[in-house]
Amino acid sequence: MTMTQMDITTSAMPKGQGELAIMDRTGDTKLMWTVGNQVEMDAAKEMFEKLRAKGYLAYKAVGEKGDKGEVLHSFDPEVGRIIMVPALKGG
Amino acid sequence: MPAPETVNAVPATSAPLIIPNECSPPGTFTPSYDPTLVPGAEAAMAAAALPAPLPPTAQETAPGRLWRSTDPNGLELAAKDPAQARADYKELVESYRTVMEGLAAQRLITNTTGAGVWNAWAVCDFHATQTAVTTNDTNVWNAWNTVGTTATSCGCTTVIDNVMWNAWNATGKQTVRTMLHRNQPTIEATPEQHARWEEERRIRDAADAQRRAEFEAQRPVREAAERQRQAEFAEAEKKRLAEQAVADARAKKLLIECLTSEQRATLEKYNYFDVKVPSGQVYRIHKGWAHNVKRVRPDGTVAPGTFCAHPSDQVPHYDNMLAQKFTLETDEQAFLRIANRG
Repeated sequence: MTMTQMDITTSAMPKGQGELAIMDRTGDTKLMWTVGNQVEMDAAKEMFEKLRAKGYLAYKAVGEKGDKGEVLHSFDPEVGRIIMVPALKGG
Repeated sequence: MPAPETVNAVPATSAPLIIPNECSPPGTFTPSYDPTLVPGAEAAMAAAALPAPLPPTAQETAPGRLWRSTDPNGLELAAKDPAQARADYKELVESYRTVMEGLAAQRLITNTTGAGVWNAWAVCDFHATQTAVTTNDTNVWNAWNTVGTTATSCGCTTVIDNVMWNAWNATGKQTVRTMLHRNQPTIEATPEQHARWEEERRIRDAADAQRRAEFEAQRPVREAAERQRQAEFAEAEKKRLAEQAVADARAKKLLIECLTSEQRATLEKYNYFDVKVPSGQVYRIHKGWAHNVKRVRPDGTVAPGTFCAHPSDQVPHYDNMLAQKFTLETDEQAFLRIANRG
């Protein structure tokens, strides 16, 4: 599978698949990779680090059905879904 | 007695009033008032008991006739009722006498020329305003009465005696030194002027008509352009709403995938869900963008106040809720530090 941007159609990530969900005004843009595909993983990692440099926070969903958040400080292709959130500011 | 055109309301033998009744030529200046320098001043001031005016003539007493007369001092009187006119005159003379006393006391007002509005004003400066009913400068007098004696400006635009009025307005009554009562002549337009004005009006009307015609000719074009603009706006708005709906649906899907079944239920039913953070505190996140986070007390009630912290970039409300949830779960103190309280 080549790297692509697409919507997730199922809530559970297929085994061996990874996803970077980047929050934006369109909802979220998803970047997917296949674990083991170095090209896809490198592209995902590059995007991860680029967003982190812009101040985004990375969370991985853990717990039952991914209902708890946990901060990711570095890219981990084995996590499954990574959600990139723009930094919060006071409103 | 023949019926005169003008009637001397005061016999010639009576003591003359001392108020100057002739307009000074422009540029002249009468020296400061001093009763002793004005002929007959002291006699006039002593003339408290005025002789009775002449009886009215048949012409004067004709019903409804406007009775006009000029006294020896040039004071013009006008009234429909001769008896009333005499009463007014007598009252005015009494007032003048007091005025002169006032002038002697107030040397600031040193020279008044013209017995019209200035005298009436001066009279009323020391007496009730209703005593001056026979002034012939009714425009300025009425305007002055309307705005009150303390006014420093007047919106009256029909002032005839503008020299005096402007001087009074400009300097204030306490510092007036000289006032020239100069009646402004009525300007009658010549036929040539009328013709020129008519021609100018015709040219203006023609130009206006041409502009209107051009405006009307362009109306279909303008209306078509407006319809086009509105159609484009409606299309853009429709597209924006469709994109927003897609974004909302996508964000909601992501949020739901990160919620427990209980949180999903309350989100669907009440548009909020509760988040229990590691400190044990419970927060309620409502659907929204700002001030949508509240604290839930241990007894289940909601504490007053809200927290406001959201992503720095514009994202759908469901994404905002997820970002708030993650931040609270992973770094409650950071959230509390960032959030504004409402």
